Amino acid sequence: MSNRYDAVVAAITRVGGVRSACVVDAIDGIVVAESSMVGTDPAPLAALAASLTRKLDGLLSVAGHGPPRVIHLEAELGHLMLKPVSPELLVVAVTDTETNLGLLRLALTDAAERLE
Amino acid sequence: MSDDIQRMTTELARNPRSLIFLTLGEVLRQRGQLTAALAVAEAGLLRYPSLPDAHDLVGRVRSDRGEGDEAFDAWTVALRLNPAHAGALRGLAFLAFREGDLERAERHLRAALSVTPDDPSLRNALQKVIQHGGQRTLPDRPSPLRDREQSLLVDGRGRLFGGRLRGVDGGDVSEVVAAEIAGVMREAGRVTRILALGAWRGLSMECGGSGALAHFAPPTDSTVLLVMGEPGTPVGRLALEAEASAASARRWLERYQ
Repeated sequence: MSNRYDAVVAAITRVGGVRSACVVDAIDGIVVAESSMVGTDPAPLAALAASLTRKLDGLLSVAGHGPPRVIHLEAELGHLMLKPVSPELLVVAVTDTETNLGLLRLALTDAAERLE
Repeated sequence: MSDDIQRMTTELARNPRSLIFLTLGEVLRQRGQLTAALAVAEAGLLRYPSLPDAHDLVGRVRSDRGEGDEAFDAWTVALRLNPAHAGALRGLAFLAFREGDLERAERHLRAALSVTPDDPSLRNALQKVIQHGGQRTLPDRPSPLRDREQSLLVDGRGRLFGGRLRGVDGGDVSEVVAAEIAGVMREAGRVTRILALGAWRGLSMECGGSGALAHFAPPTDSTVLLVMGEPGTPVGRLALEAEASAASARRWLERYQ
């Protein structure tokens, strides 16, 4: 089973500029599988990704929408992109500022489909 | 090219980190060489993004080029970096005066004078504004978001400043969503801080079920704007629309806060 997760994470990291890619347990906010550059700790990434997804899910639900499909947080020094696979699982990537966001979105969508 | 400009250009070429770009940019601006002045100012800003004087210089050049929105943004950043920056206050006063908002112009000039009380040009400008006081008007801007449906401007405590949002069933969900946005704003800040990503600039998502798009942008450090897009709206287009609305909201906030 872990090989499947590892393969998914490896595919995401092939997108240029990805610093860290994870499969995350969305309920507990813990890492299921990850591949990160040296110096990047995936544990806080997993916890924060799960927490942010819950917040946004709450916001959408009060407006009558379903849970978020893709989330993209843009910051001064990089990007965080999340793709919920199910209520229990997320795929997550952190990138630098130069990454191709369209390719990253496709990679996360493909990863989610492989894990469904 | 005058000797002074030649000398400063040579010095800058020899030492690109030199602060001489501030003087060179200003001299070029005063001579009306606005394209060259902007190039010098923006190159300097790239090296010194936290230097208020660099943003002030960009503001002056942009203003001379008739680019009021960009000048406003530059001076606003300068003030964020140094709330007592007299040049930025003067610049914002000038823009306000040009828009006919004399009350705001006077407020900025008084703030600038509290920093440099002996500046005769500031005193003259304030005098001019006061003389025009009888014609004081505020442009009609009842809402920061009047041109955009399905958007909300909210502060970090969930207070709604403007806009309106309808839920999927057509009901007004502005207040409840505003309360949720405050939590999202804090969470986005926490994420970027802990992951060392710098300040967050935007957050977009595709909504399940409806397929609608949502984009959050922070017009200021203490406010956030939510713009919703119909299903099928290109993500990039919604982000651009949100940025434009955020710029409008920023000006509105600066005017009324």
